[in-house]
Formats: sequence, structure tokens, C-alpha cells
Amino acid sequence: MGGALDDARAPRPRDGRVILMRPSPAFIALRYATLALFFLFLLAPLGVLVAVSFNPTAMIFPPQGFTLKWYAVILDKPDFLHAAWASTKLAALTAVLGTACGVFAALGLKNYGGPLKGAISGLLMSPLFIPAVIVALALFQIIFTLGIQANVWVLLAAHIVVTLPYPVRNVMAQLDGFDQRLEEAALTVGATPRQALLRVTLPLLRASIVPSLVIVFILSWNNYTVSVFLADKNWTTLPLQLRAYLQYEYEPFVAAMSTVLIVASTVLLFVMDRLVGLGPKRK
Amino acid sequence: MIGRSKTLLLVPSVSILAAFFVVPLIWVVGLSFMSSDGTGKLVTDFTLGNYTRFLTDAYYLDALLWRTVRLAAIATLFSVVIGYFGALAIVRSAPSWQPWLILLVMLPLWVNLVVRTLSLMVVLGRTGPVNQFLVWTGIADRPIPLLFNETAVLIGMVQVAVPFVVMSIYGVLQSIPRQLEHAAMTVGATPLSAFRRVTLPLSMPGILAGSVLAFGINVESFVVPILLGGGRVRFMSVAAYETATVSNNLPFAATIGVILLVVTMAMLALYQWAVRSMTRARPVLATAG
Amino acid sequence: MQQIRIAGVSKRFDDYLALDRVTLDVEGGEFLSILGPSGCGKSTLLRIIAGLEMPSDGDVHIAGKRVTGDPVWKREIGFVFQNFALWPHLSVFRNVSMGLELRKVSKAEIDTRVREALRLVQLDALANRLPAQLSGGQQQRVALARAVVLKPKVLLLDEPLSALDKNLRQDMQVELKSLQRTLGLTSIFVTHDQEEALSLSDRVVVMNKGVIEQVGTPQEIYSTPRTEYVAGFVGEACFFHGIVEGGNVLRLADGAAVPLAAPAPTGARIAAFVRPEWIKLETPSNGGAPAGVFERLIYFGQSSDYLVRLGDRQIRVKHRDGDRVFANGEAVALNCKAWPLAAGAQAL
Repeated sequence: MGGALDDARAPRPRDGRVILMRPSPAFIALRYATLALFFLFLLAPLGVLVAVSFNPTAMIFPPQGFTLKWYAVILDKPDFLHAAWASTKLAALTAVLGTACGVFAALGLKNYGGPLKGAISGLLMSPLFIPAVIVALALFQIIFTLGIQANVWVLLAAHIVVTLPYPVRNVMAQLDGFDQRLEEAALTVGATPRQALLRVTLPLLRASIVPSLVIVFILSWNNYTVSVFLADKNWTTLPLQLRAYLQYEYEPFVAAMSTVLIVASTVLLFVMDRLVGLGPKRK
Repeated sequence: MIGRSKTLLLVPSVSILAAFFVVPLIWVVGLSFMSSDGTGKLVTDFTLGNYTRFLTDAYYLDALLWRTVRLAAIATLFSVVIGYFGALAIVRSAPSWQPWLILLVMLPLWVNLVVRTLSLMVVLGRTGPVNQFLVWTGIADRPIPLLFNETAVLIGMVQVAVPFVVMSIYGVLQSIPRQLEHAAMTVGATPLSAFRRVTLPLSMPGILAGSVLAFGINVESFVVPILLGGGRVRFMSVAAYETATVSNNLPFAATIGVILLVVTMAMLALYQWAVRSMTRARPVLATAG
Repeated sequence: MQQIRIAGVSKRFDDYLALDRVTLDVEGGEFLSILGPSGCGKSTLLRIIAGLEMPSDGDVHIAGKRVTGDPVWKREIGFVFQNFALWPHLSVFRNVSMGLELRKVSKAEIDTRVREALRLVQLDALANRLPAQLSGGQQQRVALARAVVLKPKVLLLDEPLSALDKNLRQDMQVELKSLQRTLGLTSIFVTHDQEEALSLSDRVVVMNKGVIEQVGTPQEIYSTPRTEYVAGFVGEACFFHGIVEGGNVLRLADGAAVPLAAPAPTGARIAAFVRPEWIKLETPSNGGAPAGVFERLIYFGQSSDYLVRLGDRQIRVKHRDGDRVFANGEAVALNCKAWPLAAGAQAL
């Protein structure tokens, strides 16, 4: 037993599959069945929605025919296009500014040895633990009390606040394993600390900065809770606009819009995976 | 050595958080002890009235707080069970499949929540595939109302939480060497009892982390109860939103928010305590996690 | 001329004194090793010379100029790190050229100098590779080229060979030494491997617990160490403790007598040591030489050792050609001259 416990700490062998016993066919069948059921539960609804978007009649599955007319209808909905553009701008700004703040914070925190270190890192991560609806409610209340009109800057700040922990965490995790000597080596060949940061540290941090940008973009792009409290009429974001359609026009063009969004998210996910490898390491 | 200037790097993030997070939160807590007159004007005198109103009214306690916590807990239970089976099936499939399967698990997380909820509305609707299936198999003789009730909200929350649970549990399961189960089988355990005695206890940290994540997401559910509950299933976050924006009773909205916050914090504290007592009782788990 | 001057340098980390008033001069063109176990302060000393750490006290001079307060990027040094610290996102060429780019050297000159440095370490063919595509030995050479391309006033090497496997390490030792000779670079080489230090250096500094124990040529350090610590650290040693008789014999507690290789004050209580290759095993006679029991022979291929039990100690003796064959368990006498240690009296 002692040996077995030691194994728990030992690194996994390369292929991780030292086959002692071949599982019985029943087990294999069970495994495939579980896998199929699980993904049916997880993904089938999205598939149904995509199918409905081709239905010429109504929001009904299975479709009673095939049409692309709902996709053409999208183009006649200026609200949707406007919302998509607003969401894109907002998410891009959030991603760039939030990630920049996060990178700065992670770098600053690494070099800061003061008494507030624990408190500051706790503060940076805390939006993760506080329900976003409370953050949004709080901001809504304070601007309401101060008599400030809802505007895009507050909306942007709120989006940054609720997504900030992700870049901070990603970059800090990479800095944790960062070999300080790479930066020192730059100093020994004559780089000032700022040059070392620009030429060595930041290029290497790309491995955590790029995923942070994408994750923050996606979180902001999809955010409903914060936007519903704080968005003004000019900044009705996609999720808000979709919800409005659901309430007043429950027709397959909403499914078509959704399909467009599903495809966009999927493409982004796979591009991101190609770029940085999201899943477990593959050899 | 490189000096103090790097501390300045903390300024942007800390000031944004201070201005748009800390101060508003403090303001909300303060606000929850104030009241508003009939016209929505703020009365700044200190009062416990909001809390008394919330905690003595059966409507707020049962139909709001208890329903939120109860549904979030049930959804968490289902999410963890479904998520565990999913993670286990993925971790036991061919290594070359696993990255793709994990990517598929992540996919819903990247899709807009409104879109995902809409997909459930179609699936659970009167003419949706689930009802067609029920009628076709004869389980029900005519379509049953699956939407705009607690069940629908429950299904929605489980859908949302499962990918998070899978990610938490998959990471832990992957770090448990298969040889441990094989070792149990060499001393006479059947595959099932080897799983129960070795893998399951070793994956407890993942189950715990997944549960706390799922509960945290479920308890603050907003979009799901609005769309799938159809206004009939009231949730804390929805109530806070409506109280603030529709009824304009800011202090009472703040109170609802603060109570939701307290529930979340209590749950996090419980989780911390569980993790600590588990690592103390069985140090092996700490290294496996 | 002294290329490097370290005067009374101390370094304190919180409560821990890593270096205690270290003073050391390094001559121009010299290859100096700093040898010691991990935690002895040798790397800290090197980092202070480089400017990667600042001393709590004392001064550092490089090429006649006081650099104590200068930051690392203003000191003209070359530094080779233990794990090479190559920048993984830059090609071999860019790794080597960065220092020149930072000095605003013209493109043409950068190209010439980088090519030259890479030719020096025989890597000119791999200039466009990334570090991850190189073997350990090649990475090591890139690190060297990166340091020497700047024509530094001093080359600082922090255990640069310890990441390589044994055969490669020996090849790199030869290459490193010839590179240093060719360029005439003043070099300080930090290592915990005594063979490496002895074979490469003009002088060796042995450090222990933040102080310098001894500075000397490899021969001095190996054959005539001053302290038990140095004697034990740079090679295998068998120690004898006793009282000096007649200025050149050490009388041990068990009555045996060991002749000394150098005179020592009569009546002093000192320690002396012998190296395995200084001992000749003989059949016991009544000469009073230390007596032991032959335990067994250990065969290495190119050489072999004897294991001899000496009271409660087990010592090694180098086999020499022409030694007679001993049977396991046979009584033997140790014929040797021991080197008296100055600090031996305190060590007792």
C-alpha cells in the first residue's frame, strides 16, 4: 500500500496507461453510453436551436422544411446589428483595458513585498467571489444616488471589474513559474529593468496575456447581469437585445441570430485552442 | 532591486476596484440600513426595518430566499452527479480524444447565456422534442407544461453549472494514476469497489471545488430564472433587480443584495472549512489534489 | 593589474549573514574558481560582483573602477547562468545580439560580431534556431557566446556546467578553458565540483559559511590545505589527530606514530591528513605505523581502491602497481606521510 501511495505523488508515466487489466466489453459499452448521454444533455439543446433556425414556419423542432430566410431577416434588424457592434466595441475595450490592468497588477504584485500584499491580491481576486449581480446593483445604486446618468464608462468599468480576476490570475500563475534569471540575463547584457521588461518578460508573458484577452472578451461579450443594470439605450448589448426579441418576437430569426453567435463562439474557441492549447496537454 | 516604481503598476487596477467595486459595495451595505419613503426618496436615518421586513415576511423568506437556496442546492447536486459521470467518462476515454472532449465541454461556456437558455426554451416547450418524446413513448398522453416552472429553472441551472463541475473534477481525476485502482484490484477489489474505495475518495477535492463553484453560480442565477421561470419563479438576484429598477426601493434592493452576499460568503466559508478538515483528516488527499 | 577587487564585502539577508567581510583580488586574464558547498555564499558573491545583488557592506572594483553602487546593466560583465537562461522566444542569433542591440551598435557590426562569437563556440550553423531546438551542450555555448560577444571586462560563470551530463561536462570544460585562454578573459567560475575547480583554474577559492577558507593554486589547495574543512572538501582525506613529537611525527591516541610531511611545533595537539594515493599498504612490522585490517578491493576498471578498516573508521587507499596482494581480513600497516593542518589544534 505504501508503494501505491507513493505513486500518487510520482509524476504520471508518459502515456499514463499501464494496462494491467483489460476492461470488459460491458464496461466499455457503459463508458461510451455515458459519454453519449452526457454530451447529448450538454450540447443537444444548442443543436436543436441551430436546426430551428432553418425552419420556415416557427420556433418548432423538428423543422418542417429548410430555409435561409431568417438569416436574411437578421440584416433587416438594425437593432441587432447595432447591439452586435456595441457589444463588440465594449468587449474589445474591456479585454484590452482589463488585461492591461491585470498584467500591470500581476507584475506589480510580484515585486511588491509590502505589508498589504495579501490584502491587495485578495482584493484583485474578490470580484470572483462576489455575485456579479451585487456588483452591478451596487454600481447602479451609487450612480442613481449621485444622480449620474447611466453611461458607457460606468458600464465599461463594471465589465472590467467583474472580469479583472481572470487576467490577474492567468498572468500571476505564469509569473509564479517564471524563471527570474531570464530577466537577470537581460540585465547582465546591459538592459535596464524597463528594457528587460519590454524585451524579455512581456514577450514571454504573451502565453498568458493572449488567453486573458480572449477570455475577458468572451465574458464581457456574453455578460447580461451587469449590462442589464448599467447599459443606457445607446449601449444595448447583444444579450440584452436578444432577450428583448425573445420577449416580443419569438420567431426563428432569433434562432438564426443565436446560430450566428454559437458559430462565432465556436470559431473563437477553436482558434484560441490552436493558439495556446486550452485542453489538457497533447503530445 | 529594481525599485519601487513597479509598485505603481498596481495603481490602475486597485483604483478601478476601489472606485467601482469597494466603494459601491460599502454604499450598498450602508444603504440597506436606510429606508425610502413612498415616492422613492431616500431617508438616511439608520434602521433595521428592511431586514426585519425581509426576515419576518414568509413571502421573502420562503418564496424568495429559501427557494433560491433550495433550487441552487438541488441544481448543484444534479450538476455534480452529472458532471462527475461526464468527467469520469472523459478521463477514461482514449487519450487522443480527451482534448477534443474537453473542448466540447468548454463550448457552452463560450456561448451566450441568453442563447443557451433560449435553446432550452425550444427543447422544453409545448411542442419541443422532450414533450414529443414523452407523448410518443406514452409516458404522457398529452404535452405537459415543462416551461415556466421550478423544474425548468432547475434544468437550466444544471445546464449552466455542469461544464464548470466537469472542469473541476476532470483536473483532479486526471491526476490520479490508474495504477492506484489497478493496485486495489490486485488485492482483490472488483472494478466497482476499486473505484469506490480509491478513485472516488481521492477525487473528493474536485467534487468539493466543483460543488462550491456550481452553487456559487446557481445561487446568483439571473438570466435562467427570468427566462425559464417566466416571472413565476422569483430569485434573489431577480428580486434585487426589480426592486431597484422597477419599484425604485433602493434600500430594500440593497438589503436583498446583502442577504444574497451573506449566503454566498457563508457557503464559501463552509467550503473552506470542509477543505481544511478534509486535508487534516486525510493528508493523502491534499497531495492527490 | 587587478581586474577585480573585492574589499570587505558582506551580505546580510534579514537575519542571515551570507557573506562575512570577504576580500579577494583577481588578476587580469586569470581563471579563478570559487568552490564550496551550496549555501556557502559563493553564488551570492558572484551576483554581487555582477551587480545582481548589492552588498550590505564593502566595495567592488572592476578594472580599476569602483562599481559598488552601479546597477548590473552599467557594469561591463558577462554572466553565464546555471540553467543558461536563454530567452526562449528569441533565436540563437537574437539571444547573442541583444546586448549589442541595446548598445545601439550598427546592424553591420552586430552581424559581424555575433557571427564571430557563434563561430567561436561552433554554432554559426544554428544561428536561426530557437533555444528549445538545441541540445544542452549547444545551449551552454549560446549562453557563453551571449556573454563574450560584448567583450566584457570580466566573465562570471555560475555553475554553468552543472546542468550537463558527465561526458558533455568534461568536453565543455576543455572548450570553456580554451575559449577563456583565446580571449584572455578574466573569469570567475563558481562551482561545487572540486574536480572541475582543480582542473580548470589558475587559482581556487574555497568558501565555507560566508567566509573564504583558503585561496591558492589547485596544487596548494589539494596538497597543502590549511584547514580540515578545505582538506576534506577538495578531495578524499583520512584525518589523524594527535600530539607532535620531535617536530615531525604525530603520536596518535592509540600509540601509533605517523610521520609528518612538514614540520610542526613539538607538543602541539594538531590534525594531519593523508590522501588515498599517498598511502602504501605494507605487512605490519614493529615500526609503529598505524595498523588496520584489509577489508576488500574495489575495482573501477582503470584503477582500484583498497578498503581498510582503521579502528572504527573505514578508509580508502589507492592501489598502486606492484602492490602485493592482500587477503580479506589480513592485518596491514599504513606507510604514509601526513600533512599537518594549521587549524588542526582548534578542530580537536
